[in-house]
Amino acid sequence: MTPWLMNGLLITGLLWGAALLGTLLSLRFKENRPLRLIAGFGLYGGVLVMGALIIVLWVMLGRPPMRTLGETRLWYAFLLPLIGVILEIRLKTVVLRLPMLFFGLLFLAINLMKPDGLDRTLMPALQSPWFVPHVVVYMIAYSALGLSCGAALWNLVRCWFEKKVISPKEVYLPQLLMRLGLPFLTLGLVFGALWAREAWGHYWTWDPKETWAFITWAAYVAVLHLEERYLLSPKRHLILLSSAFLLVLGCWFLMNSLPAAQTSVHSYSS
Amino acid sequence: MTQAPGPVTSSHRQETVGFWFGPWEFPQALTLVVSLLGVSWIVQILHPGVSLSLPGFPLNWVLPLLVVIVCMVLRKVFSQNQLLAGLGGGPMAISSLCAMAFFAFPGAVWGQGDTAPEFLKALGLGDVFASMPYVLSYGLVYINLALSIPAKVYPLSKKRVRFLVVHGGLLLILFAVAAGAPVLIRGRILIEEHGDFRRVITTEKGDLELPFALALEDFKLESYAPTMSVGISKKDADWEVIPGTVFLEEGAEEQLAGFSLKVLEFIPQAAVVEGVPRAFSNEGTGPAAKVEVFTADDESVGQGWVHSATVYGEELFLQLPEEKVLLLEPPRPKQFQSSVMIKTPDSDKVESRLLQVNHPFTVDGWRLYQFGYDSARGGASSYSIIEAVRDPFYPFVLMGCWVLVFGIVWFLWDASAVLLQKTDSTGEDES
Repeated sequence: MTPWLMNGLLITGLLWGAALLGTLLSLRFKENRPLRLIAGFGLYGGVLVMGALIIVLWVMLGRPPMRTLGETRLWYAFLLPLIGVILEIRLKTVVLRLPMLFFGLLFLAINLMKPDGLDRTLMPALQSPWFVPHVVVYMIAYSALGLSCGAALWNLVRCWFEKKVISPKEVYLPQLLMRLGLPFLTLGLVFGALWAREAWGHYWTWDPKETWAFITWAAYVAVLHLEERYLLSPKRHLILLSSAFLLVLGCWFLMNSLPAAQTSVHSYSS
Repeated sequence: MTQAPGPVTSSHRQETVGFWFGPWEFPQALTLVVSLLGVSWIVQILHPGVSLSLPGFPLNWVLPLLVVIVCMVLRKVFSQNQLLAGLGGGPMAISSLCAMAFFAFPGAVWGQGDTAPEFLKALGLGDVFASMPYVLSYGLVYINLALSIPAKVYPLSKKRVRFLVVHGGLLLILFAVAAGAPVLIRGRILIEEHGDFRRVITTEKGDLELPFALALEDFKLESYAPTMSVGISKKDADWEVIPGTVFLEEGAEEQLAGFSLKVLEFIPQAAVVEGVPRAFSNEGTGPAAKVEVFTADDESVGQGWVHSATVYGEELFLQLPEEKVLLLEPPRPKQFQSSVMIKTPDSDKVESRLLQVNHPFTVDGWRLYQFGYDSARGGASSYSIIEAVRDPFYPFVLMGCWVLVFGIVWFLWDASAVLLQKTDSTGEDES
């Protein structure tokens, strides 16, 4: 990793660290305006720095920075807080702030601990008009579903700490995020199939990564149908929304260390 | 059997219409799915070689189409029938989809076919996507979709049209995948200069003849500039390789594995003569670089040539301290293409077309893809490997995909419209 990228990630980490501290303290000191300002400035500033880093990296590499696992983590650390910020502004809520800062900092930390080499090569099959839309819609889906999981967990933990019964209103935001994430997940699946057909001649081969993607999609479709059909208890609903995200993590990270990965064409090079 | 409309309690249902004919919920759906797939799984374990597949043309498309038509007609005619409503209902959708995901799971964790572990083969799931329980779960999802659609046709509303688009798109995809599988042909053909090549080697259907002949006119490989890497000898394992990222050229510098590397000379195309690279412009040659290595204290460790093995010379590497070596990574392919001559039988016409990765073309219903080449010879490869695919049902898959995309974008639009309307995050009025 080049020094400028390392420094950029550290600056983002510091901004989000300050935002996390400000957010946690403002939970205790609710009326403290400077704390809220620090939290807001840190969060928004970090998102802007991350966006700028990705643009510079794209220009410097001469290819979309979406090839390696580390590069997808950068996108995630950018898109997840960005989606959170949009929802935060639109819905006038700070419920998502801790989940987005947690995930953002986690992914930054992983990238700082496991720095990627900046490889400028792009294998021929990836030089397709489908490459960018496929990865971007997947990253948006993963971000929305990650936020859904984070918000669901946060609401569960908060209600448990405050010893109060979980009300249906706690489900609203995680559910909305799942309903935004699932369509993107479906689009990612379809774009991937159309791309595979143009690149390799097969739209679906049950490659282990594709199998994980199908299982993840099926799980979220099942959750959606459950919601449509039944009035789930808020607690169960939140547990369902948060646990479904484990499959996303399985598809994204766990799959690479399973025996099936040896037969996958989707193993990321780093 | 039909049932009078109106609320039916659980006990009432048991007394009057029985388990299968009351309003369907999870107990019924789960019982059906678990028992059907459980029995088929036991059969699969007892007879591992058995697999379910559709027959060849024309039954490959007639049967699945017939299933859809029968399901839709039955659902429309017996609109009050609770069994049909249940088979096409939400609990059945969830149960059958989860069953499909459950049986797909071994394929997500372990290799399939020859690479499947023994215990998986003993469980009848060594080739899970052709196994009876998986194929039956696919069939249940298919029937569920076919039965769910007629119930939403009348009276129409915006939400129902969206339902029809999404589920209709999915049904079309499942139909085309099922109908296409028995007639799908996928194979590889190796073509060289001079001669007519028409023999496709497939795994499922053996060797086949294409209705046209192909020949290689020209093969071109464009590569990225090479990079260096440092190999570290490990006592208990293979070499650990730390790859560099700087594209090599004269004067290029890189920090790698605690060393500073500087390229003193660079030859883009070299042949190794008596251990020393010389410029030699020919397809199949590789680059070579003379590199000086410094420690972190700027102390020179040594210099020498690095070259990756080609048909024009052996590999040259540089020994470094601490059992490390400096290697030249072979240039990675940026793009490769074959200029292909096509001779169709109906005329003496000879057509020349360019085949590239991500740019396939179709001849007489066969889709041709650039697949591979002789990687040992690189740009000097005397042959090109082409993937030939004949999938007559792909247009339906494509159509289903775009219908689904349209429905999904619509769904997304409606979901995000909530964002535009709401001003209160807590969702108090949503619960």
